[in-house]
Amino acid sequence: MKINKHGYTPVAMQLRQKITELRDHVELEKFLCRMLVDNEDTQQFEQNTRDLKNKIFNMRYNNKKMRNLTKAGKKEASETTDGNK
Amino acid sequence: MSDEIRKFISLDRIVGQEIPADLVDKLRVASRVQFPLKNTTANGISTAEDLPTRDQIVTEHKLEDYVDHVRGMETLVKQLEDLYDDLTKNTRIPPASDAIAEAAKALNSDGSPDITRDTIDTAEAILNALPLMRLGYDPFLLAATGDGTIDGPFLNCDEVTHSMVNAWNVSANSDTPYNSTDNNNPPFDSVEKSKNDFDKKMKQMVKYLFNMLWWNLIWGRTVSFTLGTTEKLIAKPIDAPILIFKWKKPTVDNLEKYGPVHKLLNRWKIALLCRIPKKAWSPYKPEEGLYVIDTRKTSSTKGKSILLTAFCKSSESEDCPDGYIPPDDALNMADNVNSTKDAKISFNKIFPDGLDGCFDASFWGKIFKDMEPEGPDTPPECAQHAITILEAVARDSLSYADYTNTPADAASFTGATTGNLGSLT
Repeated sequence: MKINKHGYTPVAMQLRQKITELRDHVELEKFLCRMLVDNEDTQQFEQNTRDLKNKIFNMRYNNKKMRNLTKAGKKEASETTDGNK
Repeated sequence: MSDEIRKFISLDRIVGQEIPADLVDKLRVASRVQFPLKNTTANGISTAEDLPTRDQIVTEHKLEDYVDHVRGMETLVKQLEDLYDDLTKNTRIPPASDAIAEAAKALNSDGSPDITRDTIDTAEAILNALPLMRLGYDPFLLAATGDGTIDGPFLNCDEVTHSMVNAWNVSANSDTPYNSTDNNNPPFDSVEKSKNDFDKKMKQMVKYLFNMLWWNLIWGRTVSFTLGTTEKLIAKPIDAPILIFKWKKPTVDNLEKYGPVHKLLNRWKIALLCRIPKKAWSPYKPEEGLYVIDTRKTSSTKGKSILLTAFCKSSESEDCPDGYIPPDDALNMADNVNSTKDAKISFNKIFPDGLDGCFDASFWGKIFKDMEPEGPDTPPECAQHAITILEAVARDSLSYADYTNTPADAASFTGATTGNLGSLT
């Protein structure tokens, strides 16, 4: 039996800030992974960030400049350069 | 105290000697070794670079393990968020005061005075966007994209430790009562002079001891406090320790050496504590303004509210019936609203790809409503509403008044608590 108050469980509400911090942390780690590795996992990381309800992470880590720092972004940039040549 | 310990704490056995590796390990566990310290010219302090356990660390953490680790973390966070959603989706907290009702009405799209999940989400989003709201730009975001920097001046850690080490070595190697080389003076004078020198050096050592305590204990706490406060005001906490040093990509070698990124973050945090404003060095106290934000590249936007104005307009506009602001339109809005060259340039700098199709006008429209900055010390009205709402939610979740209004409610609360406790056993 859960304590339910005004339609919510108080304990969950008290964990809200901690969950937010964890999301913040994991998004940063995902980005650092993308800087080092380009594989299915990291591509999925990027997509997951894009799909998040909170778009601030997409804005922060998937903008052009930040994406250029990632392995995938660099690869695409070099391919574009080669194509132009 | 055993003889072994007595020997160990004898100064002449410590000064100028390397700290034994096993002791360094213990100190490391107690977080008393500053890993980012580079080797100094003297050998009085061992650094992490000397640790024999470094190789173990290198072999423990591989890149693939790291990606797996992060994937696991993401799954865990997703589960927690889902759980949170499930446990709070039906939230509807009645307002406990007129102020809360007014704040909820301002944030709710339907004008209801009750606090719902939507109200809470909006309040959080507003506070997340506070840097943009107050400054017109987010200095940490700009630093991340390379359009701004957060810079020193800082002292290098070596400059501090070097002096300390020199002091210890001077005390150990120079003219002391135990190794006087001055044989030309009469014995009595020599002893008296040595005694004076010894007293002088002891005072010097006490002074350096206090300095060391200051830098190692008090300074760190001061910096942590300053950073913590600043982070809360300016940016998300996780960004600060990284961006303060400008963006630097961790090398594969570093990652393998130091493991998952939280270790790298810790290194950066410690490195930050070692970077001391030059002004603070001389009087041994921190000056106000631990770091300065270099806004030279973005000075054109300082004090303006380009983005918010654009969004405010967009929320009222009928041009986006689907709740979406096309990037070009957003750029045009910024340009039209401000009618200045600076506006568009700044907007482009912050969002070189436009808005990347991410923005939902109804969502951001609520956030950026009524948020013209009124000055550096006055949060916009919607931010004040957001704080009121989140405080009200915190109070509500911590109180149990509604269970004890009547005996039946009290019984219900007690029964629920007992039930919860029972489920844990």
